[in-house]
Amino acid sequence: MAVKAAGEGIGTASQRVETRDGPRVASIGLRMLDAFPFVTRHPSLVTRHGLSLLSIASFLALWHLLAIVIASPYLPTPLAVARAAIAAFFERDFLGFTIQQHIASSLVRIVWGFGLAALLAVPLGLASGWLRSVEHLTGPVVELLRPIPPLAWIPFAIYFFGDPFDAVFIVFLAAFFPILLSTLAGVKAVDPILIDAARTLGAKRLRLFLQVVLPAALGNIVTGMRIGLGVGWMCIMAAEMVGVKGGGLGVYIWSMGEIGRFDAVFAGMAIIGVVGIALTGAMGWVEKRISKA
Amino acid sequence: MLQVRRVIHSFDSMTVLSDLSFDVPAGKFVCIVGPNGCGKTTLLRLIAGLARPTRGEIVLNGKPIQEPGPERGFVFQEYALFPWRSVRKNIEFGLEMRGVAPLQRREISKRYIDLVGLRGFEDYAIRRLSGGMKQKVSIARALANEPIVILMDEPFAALDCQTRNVMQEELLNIWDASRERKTILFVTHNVEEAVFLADLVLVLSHRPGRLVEALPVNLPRPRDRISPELHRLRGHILDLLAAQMPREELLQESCEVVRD
Ligand SMILES: Nc1ncnc2c1ncn2[C@@H]1O[C@H](COP(=O)(O)OP(=O)(O)O)[C@@H](O)[C@H]1O
Ligand SMILES: [Mg+2]
Repeated sequence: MAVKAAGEGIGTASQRVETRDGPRVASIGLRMLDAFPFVTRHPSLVTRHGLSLLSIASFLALWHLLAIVIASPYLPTPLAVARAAIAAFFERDFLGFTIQQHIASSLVRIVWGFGLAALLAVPLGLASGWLRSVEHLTGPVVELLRPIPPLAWIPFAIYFFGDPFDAVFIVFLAAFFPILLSTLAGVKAVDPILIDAARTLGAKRLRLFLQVVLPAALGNIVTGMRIGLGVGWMCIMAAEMVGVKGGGLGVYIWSMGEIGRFDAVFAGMAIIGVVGIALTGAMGWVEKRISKA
Repeated sequence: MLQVRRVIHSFDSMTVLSDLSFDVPAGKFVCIVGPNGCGKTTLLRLIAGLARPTRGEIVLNGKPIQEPGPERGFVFQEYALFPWRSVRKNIEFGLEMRGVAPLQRREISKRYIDLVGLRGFEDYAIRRLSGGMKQKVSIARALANEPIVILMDEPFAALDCQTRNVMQEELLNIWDASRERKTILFVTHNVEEAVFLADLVLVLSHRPGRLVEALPVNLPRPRDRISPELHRLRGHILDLLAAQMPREELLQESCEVVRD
């Protein structure tokens, strides 16, 4: 039962995270609007913001309508959710935490887990991409461990590490492999002609690596980090729901569900989404800066 | 003096260059023409030291070539510029690798930026440049290392006809302007380009590449592209190249045209 719910948690988080691609989705939407003669193909900024507003407003209206019609205790109205969200910032829940404290707990875990993963996976990926022997040495172990979903490590992590390292460990695992593989792919994808060019200009091994391979692979490394951060954020929610202690947004929505406070559950979900967007959005910004340079 | 001595080069079982020998006196502009896939790029890579010949040796001023060195510059057909570096930083790359101090790097890169006519574009990102400008950066980058031999692999192949003509003239000017005359090995499969530029045209055979003929072009510069002498030379080289084309391949190519 708990595992199934954890799976649902992942789905929710991923949908939230994907809204980061808002502009692309919106542009597809606009193409479909070609059928309407009053909507131009490249709408002005005002029209665009107007359409975004319309989109969100209709979503909320539809939700409200559904909530009223269905009248289920598990589907609160958007207004109730907003009220619960505001309340969560000012009142302690029955666990004794404000929502800020839950956010902080989750963030501390993701920062540590993701930081350690990046610190280890980037150098390892660079080394195994550049040195055949390192690749042959680490490759088999990586291929052995990679197919195990990070969530499958939760029971082990909880009993072996306990709070707070259990959750850090899960985030670490979740972020480690995307960063490692993306870094490795980045090194392998370096155009050999650039390496030849650098060699004819006098670059030898270490300089070649630092001045050509590293900058050429940087885009891929950051992409791996963004993906790792997103996966880490999903997994931390699941881990927190399954039994990690000491607060966290996952703990919050799971506990609120158990006492039937679904307005608070949805409020927690919205906050998870917002924080997720902020995290991957920040990485996405770095990524764009790098690919432009 | 650059000496290519009995060079044989094979990839796996395929022989690309077979028993190739020629000498290039210092300061000459040499064009290398030959059918596609006859090993022209391979030859330049061997001279650059990016690969070692299977047999034979290449000697520059008495020293056998073992590895890449700053005295041999390379201009790649694909430009091979570092997209994360600005125009100036690309041109300074070789100087950085050789540990030249920043102020001096600036001074040298400025000189070559002026030489190739890229003043005002120093801080441009590579992706903002046109093909001709990219190739200028690539040439300036190779020149900044002050090589004595410049290897150029079809550098103007991707340019439109007008730009190519301008670049040819500018290349001759740059070559003329350098303090001591540099040796240039310029690969092209444009015969017109070869006779316009070269002191010496080396015609290679179909794969495996051998030297078919070394034609001196003893015409004063600037040359008239439509002069009868150049026209005659061009005809002669084209005949040599046509004779190189094996019969099957001629048939195959005409088939491809029909299929298109
Ligand atoms: N690294 C390589 N490995 C295997 N074959 C190669 C390699 N480089 C070139 N070749 C082959 O060698 C032949 C000559 O190539 P190249 O020197 O590029 O010819 P050209 O520049 O005259 O067109 C071609 O058939 C090409 O496919
Ligand atoms: Mg070639």
